[in-house]
Amino acid sequence: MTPQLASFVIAVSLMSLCLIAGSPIADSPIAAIVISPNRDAVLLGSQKGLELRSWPGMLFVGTIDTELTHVHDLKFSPDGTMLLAAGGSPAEKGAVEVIDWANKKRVRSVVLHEDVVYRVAWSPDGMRWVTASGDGICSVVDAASGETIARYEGHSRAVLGVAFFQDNKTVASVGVDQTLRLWNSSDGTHIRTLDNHVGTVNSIAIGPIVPTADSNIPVTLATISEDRTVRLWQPTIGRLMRFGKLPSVPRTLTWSPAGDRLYVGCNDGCVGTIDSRTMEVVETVDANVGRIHDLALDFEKGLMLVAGEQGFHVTGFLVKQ
Amino acid sequence: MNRPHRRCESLTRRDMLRMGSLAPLGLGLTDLFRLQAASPNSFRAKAKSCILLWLDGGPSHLETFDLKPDAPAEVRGPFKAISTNVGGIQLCELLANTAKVCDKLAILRSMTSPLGEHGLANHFLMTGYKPSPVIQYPQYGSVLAHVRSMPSVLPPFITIPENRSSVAGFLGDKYEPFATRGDPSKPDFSVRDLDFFPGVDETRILRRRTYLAEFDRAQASFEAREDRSDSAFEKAYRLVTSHEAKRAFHLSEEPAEVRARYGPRMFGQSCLLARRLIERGVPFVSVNNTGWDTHENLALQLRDGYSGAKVGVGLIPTFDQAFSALVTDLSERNLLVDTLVIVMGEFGRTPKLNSRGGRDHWPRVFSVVLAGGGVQGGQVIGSSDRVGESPDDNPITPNDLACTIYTLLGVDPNLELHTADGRPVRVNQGGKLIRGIVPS
Amino acid sequence: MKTFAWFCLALWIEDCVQAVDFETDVMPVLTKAGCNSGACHGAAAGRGGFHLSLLGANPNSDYDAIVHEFEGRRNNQAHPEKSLILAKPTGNLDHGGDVVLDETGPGAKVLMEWIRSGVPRGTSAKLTNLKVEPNRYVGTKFPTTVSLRAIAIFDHGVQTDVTDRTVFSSADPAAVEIEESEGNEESEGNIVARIKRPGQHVVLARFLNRVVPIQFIIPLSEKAVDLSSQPRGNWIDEEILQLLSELRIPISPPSSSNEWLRRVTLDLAGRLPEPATVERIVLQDSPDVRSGYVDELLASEAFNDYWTLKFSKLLRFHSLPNDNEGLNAYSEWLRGEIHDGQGLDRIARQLLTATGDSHFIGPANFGRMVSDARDQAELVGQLFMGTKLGCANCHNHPLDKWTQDDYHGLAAVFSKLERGREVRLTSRGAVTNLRTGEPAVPRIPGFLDLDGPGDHRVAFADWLLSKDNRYFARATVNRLWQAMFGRGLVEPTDDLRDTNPPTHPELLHKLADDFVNNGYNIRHTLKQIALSHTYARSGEIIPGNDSDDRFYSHAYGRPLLPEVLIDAISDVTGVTGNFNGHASGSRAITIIDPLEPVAALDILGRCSKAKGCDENGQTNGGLSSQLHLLNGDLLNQKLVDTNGRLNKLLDAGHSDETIVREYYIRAIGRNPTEPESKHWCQQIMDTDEIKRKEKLQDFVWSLLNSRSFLENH
Repeated sequence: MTPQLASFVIAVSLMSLCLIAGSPIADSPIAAIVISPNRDAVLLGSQKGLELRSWPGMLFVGTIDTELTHVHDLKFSPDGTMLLAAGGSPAEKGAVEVIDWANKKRVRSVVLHEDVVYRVAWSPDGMRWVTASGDGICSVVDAASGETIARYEGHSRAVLGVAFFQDNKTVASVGVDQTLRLWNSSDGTHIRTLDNHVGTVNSIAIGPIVPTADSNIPVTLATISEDRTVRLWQPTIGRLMRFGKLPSVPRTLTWSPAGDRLYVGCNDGCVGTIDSRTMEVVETVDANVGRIHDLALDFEKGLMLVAGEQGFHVTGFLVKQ
Repeated sequence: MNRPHRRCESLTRRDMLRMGSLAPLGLGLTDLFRLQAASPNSFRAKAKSCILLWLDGGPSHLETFDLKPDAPAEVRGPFKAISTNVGGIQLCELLANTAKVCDKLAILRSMTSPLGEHGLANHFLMTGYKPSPVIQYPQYGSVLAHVRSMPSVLPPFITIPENRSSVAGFLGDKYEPFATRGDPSKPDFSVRDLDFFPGVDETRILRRRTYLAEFDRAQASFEAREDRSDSAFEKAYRLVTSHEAKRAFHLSEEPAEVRARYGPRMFGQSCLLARRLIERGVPFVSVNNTGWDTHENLALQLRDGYSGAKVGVGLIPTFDQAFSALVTDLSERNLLVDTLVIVMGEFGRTPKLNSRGGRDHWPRVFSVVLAGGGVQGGQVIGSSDRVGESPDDNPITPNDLACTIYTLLGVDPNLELHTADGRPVRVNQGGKLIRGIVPS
Repeated sequence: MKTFAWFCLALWIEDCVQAVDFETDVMPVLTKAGCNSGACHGAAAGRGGFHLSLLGANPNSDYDAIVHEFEGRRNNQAHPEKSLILAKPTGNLDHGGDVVLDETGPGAKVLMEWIRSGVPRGTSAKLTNLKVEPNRYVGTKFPTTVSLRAIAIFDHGVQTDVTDRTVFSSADPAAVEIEESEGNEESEGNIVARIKRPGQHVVLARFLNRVVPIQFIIPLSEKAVDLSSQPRGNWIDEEILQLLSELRIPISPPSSSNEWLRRVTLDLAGRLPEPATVERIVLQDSPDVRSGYVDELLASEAFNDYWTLKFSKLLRFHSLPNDNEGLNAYSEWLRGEIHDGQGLDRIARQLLTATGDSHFIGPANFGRMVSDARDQAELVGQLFMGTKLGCANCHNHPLDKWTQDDYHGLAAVFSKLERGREVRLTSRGAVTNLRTGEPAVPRIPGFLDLDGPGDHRVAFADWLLSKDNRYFARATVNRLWQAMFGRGLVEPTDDLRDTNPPTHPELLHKLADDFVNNGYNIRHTLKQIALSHTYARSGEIIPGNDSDDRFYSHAYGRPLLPEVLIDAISDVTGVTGNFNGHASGSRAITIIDPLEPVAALDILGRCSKAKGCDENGQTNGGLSSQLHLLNGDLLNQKLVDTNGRLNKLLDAGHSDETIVREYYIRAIGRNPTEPESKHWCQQIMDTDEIKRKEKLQDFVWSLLNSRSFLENH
């Protein structure tokens, strides 16, 4: 058997295997993931589109039609009925597609920006959502109509992360200009800038409000940056509370429901669990997906879905009670 | 000892012959008309002279001519924007006087260059050519002096007070500028060595001239050299034997009220001296203002001048007073149409303030201001983006600027100069005229 | 089924295509298209949010930026042609840098294949050498075109023709233009250099991290020039004549004895020869006599003074606020070393490693002449290596091999130095490496990181002065050459690099070796130069060599240093200078401190810049200095001085003829010719004593303003 014939046979075999396994997405970069509200399915977003799989088995179920060439974020509405897929075509347009989760169909496509939308966030009451775009602008959109309510133009570079406060009004956004900015989502007016990071800020997540006797718990924000730090803030008074250093650049972060842990996925392919009081890394898991882009955690099952350059990976993690 | 009869207060006959009776001490008008006829047909050049106000170090565009009041705080900087006498144009609040003459200014806000190092950028802005290891390109003043090559009494290219390195490039020493040296704001300011050494009168100077010519004739046959008729000595000779020419440097002849208008500091008085010189026919005067390389503490250097100052005497207020006085003075004396005034530095400064409250080098976008010489005032040409980082519209390179400046001065950008080894080099290569610079 | 079969066939064919390597295939495309140049994405701040390492210095960070950054925004695996990294340069998407890559060209094809194959990083072979053909071209006619080829040799031993991936750039596009013709099915594309002007030209070839110069030598005339019978004093003449004959430039005759004498005395001792010396040497001029005279000059105090001044400028001597003692100790020490004939290697080692009380230990002042460690690194680079390291502050040097690590690393070698009166090493002091954001690791540039605590300056000195290291020697002999000829073999003298080749590479190499083999002795090298026939050539221009300014077919006239000029004027007029704070009778060349205000020196164009001056960039003061000579004190006061030479000559009753001759010899080193003498006597002759004196003063004045006097030629 000549070398050429051998490679021909191998090529054919691989091709067939691919068809059987049915998963073009398995080993290629995945930028966005989300676990469905009733935790029986996951949606994976990448340059190949939107792919639906079972959870936690990760069996291929089907695809959802999308026009986004790059998918960067997937977010369910607070009531779990609608899904936003954010992304677009780099250097051309940024768009958010609104998907009815019940029938898995796109009901609306909102083109808002001149560059991709990197993140989208719902307001807690589900009435609005806000975008973070590569063109440096954030748009606040009315969920029901799809109309733009306000725009914030305070960032001087691409915006990479955005989050809505519990008051359904204040928004925090972060990006390449190394700042964390608070602004009013009703009219796009600037409130405050927090300026301690010394590198691009990659993501932001608002800490959960844990109900206790004292109802005046200040909101805590967490941000992660190219400067390899995780920082906690009390944004309403503009204070940096504490920060922790990481061995590798962090890209994505999630809070635990109790607010005592932060889960951070990094460039080196590891997920670090950070104690939010001491800012020490208490556990590290190597996820084997290369550079990590997104994390989704199922706290009931104690399972974590990690998406990165080389596909996805499911692993268990310790859920502290 | 016999002296030729001479009335000291007025011009001697020799002076008159040399100058032509209309143009005092400078370019003969016939020359000018000839040049104008030859200049490109896009517009008829009006400027006879040029005053270059060189802001050395790279003045921040965001603190002077291209304010971004709506940008984030770390881009905006410490100063506010104010309106000017032209609707829609705003300048820095520290340029209150300049704001009143904005109708005479063309503000170019989309200048762009890739060179962020002082020496290289300096060269690019002053010649329109990027520095080359092979050719030393000449600066504006040297080229103009060369093109308008009629021997004059006052040096055709003067810098106040001096420049740091040679600028004539391949045109040679002959076209280096004359440096006044000293500080025009000082009461005892004078240009050195213009008056005869005691005991050496004009007859003796004439004799020295004759003897020197004899020595150099012997040497000339030895090496291929150009014509000696305009050697450094000849220039010196013409200058020191002309009382009228020397008076050009006597700032004390200006009324106190005029001197006060320009402000008491060196830059202001230098601008006044520049006005006197071009009034007397000097084609190119450059005023060198140092200190704009503000890597730290903008407010201190640009506004205050010294720590704790109640009234700002820093770079911008000083510039504001001098520049507005110059433009107004030129205008009142009907000289503005004939005089091109250029305000520029080698680059702008970083849109984001650094950790020391200053800004670092930023050649990607910056501003240059032109006035007079037929330039259409009261306008902004080009723009930078939201945060003063890149040109948004109509990027203008120093090459384009040079093409425009030369055209305004009646020098054909395609004119070929020659290096010592006979290589032809265009006055300007590849630059495009700035659209809208003159009224169409 | 059939479609399926064809589909598999297509896959199979694709597999057989050679894999595209990121480092050796993709990155050269980006370099060639100009993507990573300093004007675009290679700028320290990047462009449009996209930053590449300057000229591809860092493949790892470039790979991250292209493939990973912003969740893979720049490449599109599903639709490769939509990838930003391809769509922007080809103009399919709005690009601030316009179209820099032809969509149908080989570069775009490489990018497309690489993206399609999954943007692999791969492990690349390391480039060990880049050969260019030709690497030195001696032509016989012009205009002419020369085909260029570049061959890369990798560590796996394979040689690959990389001509189409190499960037060829001409330093002088008006003289040599690079043209590229695209390949097609029949033939490979090729690159040619189109030569439009005769002379010596350089083209640079850049592939990956190597830059190699190509020299073109095109004769200036159609007529061959036979220099084979020209006498050669030594190996210097050999090299000079070789290139002149390739360029077909005829040589001027030797200068007269008088000219040579004046020239060599000015160049070695910074002063004019005395009349007695002129008589002595010219009368019995011979190679032995010249050799003996040169030895005299090299042994003179004047030599020590002059070369102390010259080195003090290189070392950036200047007084410090409220501290003249340091400078005094420094200059005394330097003069002593030069006086004793110490090798420059010994001097260098002391400068680099001295510590202690700078008011007593001269060389300890070396680090006090700069403001901080980075400045010191730049001075060390400039002085000891002849390189402009400063370019590597913010990014790797674009034209040389110095990296940011080299620059900050060298600064780190000097970072712990305290620069007060007591110069010593402390434990504090670090330099931040702008590339890493961390404290820089002390490093010998281009060579070795220096570990651990201790005085790294010693390690640097050891390396610099090691047996085979030629950096210091090359920089020094190049400066010595410049001092003698007015132009270095490499210009500027602080910019020696592979990509700025010498006019005479072999000569520089030999001079450097010779210098090292003779104990870094400057007197030795200066003597070699002074006794060469090249140095003794006349400045007279003959047909065919008028445009030569760098091949030494004739001598080049150059202005005198302001200090030398002032002393020469003093010598001729017989009135010594009077400088504030110096003993009367002091010579201007002993004024070491450029911050000392001396009006005459400043007007005449003395260098007072903190960063040193390029000797070649001297302006000789222009109109201002002419005015000063005409009306100022400098000359006029000396002419009327009652104790000046003129008055003494007149008092002694000498004739016009005698006086004229005296001044000719003193000022320009020769007797006047018969016609000259007659002419001047006629001019000066006057019965009125006062008028006669005035005429004589005017005569001397004119002589001292003539080019024969003001220039060294």
